[in-house]
Amino acid sequence: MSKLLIKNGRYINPITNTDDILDVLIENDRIADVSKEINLSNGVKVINAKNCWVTPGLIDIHCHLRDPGYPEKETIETGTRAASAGGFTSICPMANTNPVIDAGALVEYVNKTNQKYGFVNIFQIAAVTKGLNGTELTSQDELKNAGAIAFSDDGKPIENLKLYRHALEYAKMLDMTIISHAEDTHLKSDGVIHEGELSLKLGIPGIPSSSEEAAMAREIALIRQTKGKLHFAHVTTKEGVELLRLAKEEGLNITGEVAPHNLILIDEDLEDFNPNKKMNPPLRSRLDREALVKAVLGGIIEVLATDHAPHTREEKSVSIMEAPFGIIGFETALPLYLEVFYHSKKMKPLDFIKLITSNPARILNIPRGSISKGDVADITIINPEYEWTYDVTASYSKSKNSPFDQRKLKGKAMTTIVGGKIIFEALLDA
Amino acid sequence: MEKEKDSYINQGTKNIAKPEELNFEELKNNNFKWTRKTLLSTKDLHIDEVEAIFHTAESLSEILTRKVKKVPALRGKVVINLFYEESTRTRSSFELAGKYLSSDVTNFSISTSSVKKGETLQDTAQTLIQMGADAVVIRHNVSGVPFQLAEYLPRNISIINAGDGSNEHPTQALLDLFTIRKHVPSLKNKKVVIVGDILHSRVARSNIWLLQKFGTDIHLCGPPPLLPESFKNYGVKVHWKLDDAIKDADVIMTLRLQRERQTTGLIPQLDEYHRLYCLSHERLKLAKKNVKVLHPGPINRGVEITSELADDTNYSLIADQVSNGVSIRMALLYLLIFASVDS
Repeated sequence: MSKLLIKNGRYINPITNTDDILDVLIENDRIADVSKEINLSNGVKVINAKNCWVTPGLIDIHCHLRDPGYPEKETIETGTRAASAGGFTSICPMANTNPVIDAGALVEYVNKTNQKYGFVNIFQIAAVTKGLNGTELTSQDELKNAGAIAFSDDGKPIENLKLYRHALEYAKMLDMTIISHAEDTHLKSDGVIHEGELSLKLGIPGIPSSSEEAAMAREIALIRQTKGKLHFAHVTTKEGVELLRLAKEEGLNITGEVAPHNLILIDEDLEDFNPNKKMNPPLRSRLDREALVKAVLGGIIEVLATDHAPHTREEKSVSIMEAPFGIIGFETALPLYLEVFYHSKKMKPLDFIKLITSNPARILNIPRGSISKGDVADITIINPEYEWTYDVTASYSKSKNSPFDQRKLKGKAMTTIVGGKIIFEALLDA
Repeated sequence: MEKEKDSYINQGTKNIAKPEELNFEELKNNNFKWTRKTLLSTKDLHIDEVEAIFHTAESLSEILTRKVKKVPALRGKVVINLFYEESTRTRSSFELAGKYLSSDVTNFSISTSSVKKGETLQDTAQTLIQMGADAVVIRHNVSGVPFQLAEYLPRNISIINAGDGSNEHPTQALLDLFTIRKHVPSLKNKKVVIVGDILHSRVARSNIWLLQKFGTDIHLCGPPPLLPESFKNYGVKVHWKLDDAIKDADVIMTLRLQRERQTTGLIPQLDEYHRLYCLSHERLKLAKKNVKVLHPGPINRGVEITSELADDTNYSLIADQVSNGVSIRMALLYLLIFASVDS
């Protein structure tokens, strides 16, 4: 029996509302004990977690691993490695691979490949429509049986509302959630950055906020009708936040997430035309960013998600129109979240940790997000005060498309434990 | 290097001094020194620099009237016209400007389709360096590309933005102002109206940023989808009705309407646009008596301006804009190429 003892850490477990200095004993893949002062001798590996938080393994419910289909951007191996370095023990990749994850065999491909090459747990999200074509529904039953955790056509909004309605009805039958990329494609048109003062100033086609708001409004109408479960991926606008607030107040089964870049950067940061600040939905205005931060503090947005989206340097070294949307985010997400919510003194650690552990687990029914006795030993040990500079060339991701290169960060996952095994340990300057 | 500079002076370059000897005495600021190496935008142009460009353009314009239109000012210098977007006028204007000053000008046309096949801006920059470019004149259909390319080029290569997407076209704005100033010496509090598809116009943007430096009262006019009200935030006045806009105008700049705007619903019908926004003698009655009219070309006669007005030199400065364009570009190539990198 392999044992691992984590000593002297600040144990934070949102499910039990615990935030205390407690030791954690792991036996094999499970948590065997959580107590004050566990003392074991010989043969036990001990991690001294002094000044660190010991939290449930972080969960990212929105990322892109590009596998199968785009090994030049990322693979399951490199993507899960980068995730582990960022403190994530479970990640939910989207279905927009090539081929699209729209059949049971493809979910199995992902899970088998991950068993062989992966570093963290994958909970695959499968497509709502075949090939993300927006016209033909996938077999949700088949996909769920194969291991899919949720459904989404992320990257491509579903325009046909009748089809969308039926997808929600099937998902409801199976007690599954649909994750929405809320966007009106006509309003977006050829837009590449937020439609606002900057797009006007630089003559760059804009994506109006109404593109998100209008799509969210019509999808909320479908939930009101079907009573299904909907999760809004990457909410970016203050109008979207308000719709989410109203929908939750009404008691609809609707949740939302926000990506780290939308909490940190704004459209004005794009004055340098850097394609590594181009993503969809885009960096919005200062007021939108404020609204997003407030929405998280007020419980309207309950999840932080990376939207890790790798693209090669070649793809991004072109004009702002030609460059693909998206940036990588696994390794910078945690310190950026900490910057916005913890170091700013806006949130207590327990409330903060919820956003990246128990909340995403609850929303997508992921059997993780807690570190009580008997739970699977997925643990992240975080030093919230550790100061470091992000060097994108040292990233474990195959792609380097980050706007945060050379940014000074505070907070880091020091040790990432998946199923009782140490998967990642930060090598600090010795 | 010294010898080279001496030689062009000695070869009969009348009125052309070395850049460091350029006589800027007539300018207000005697201490002014030309140090600029690239021109990407009118936003960061200083008034002194504008005056220096105009001063140089004025003296170089004389070359255009010579029998032998050539001086050796840029002999041995390589100017590359890097055009990702078709443009006969601007490209020819730069090409002639370079050639009148004896530089070797080559046209490097990259169709956007080959870009899709994978040439990155870094690779393009590397090619330009290896070809020995002294100046790169770049036109691209996407905003920002000259700025991105500049990041990859060493400081000793001059870059001139010849139009990027809907962002900027600084040499056009400079030649427009140069042309206007011959008729309206001071633009302070003068009413300049820009009419047309402002949203997609790099000419309008570069003109706005430039004219603002001279205290000009700038008014924009066009249909709402092509002229969002929020342009107001940039200190200009927004009009959707032409008659309101051109009342008491000193200068009117009208822009070319791209016909494809109709297919995307930005303008309902071409004849409606003509009815609402076409500049004519009749409409000009609302403006000041000696109002001047400009157009960056090529003109859609009968769409944004009547044929009669475009040809009426009492009002129209369109022909002057073309020749002034060559002078302004000669001045810029000359000043930018010879600016010292260390200063």
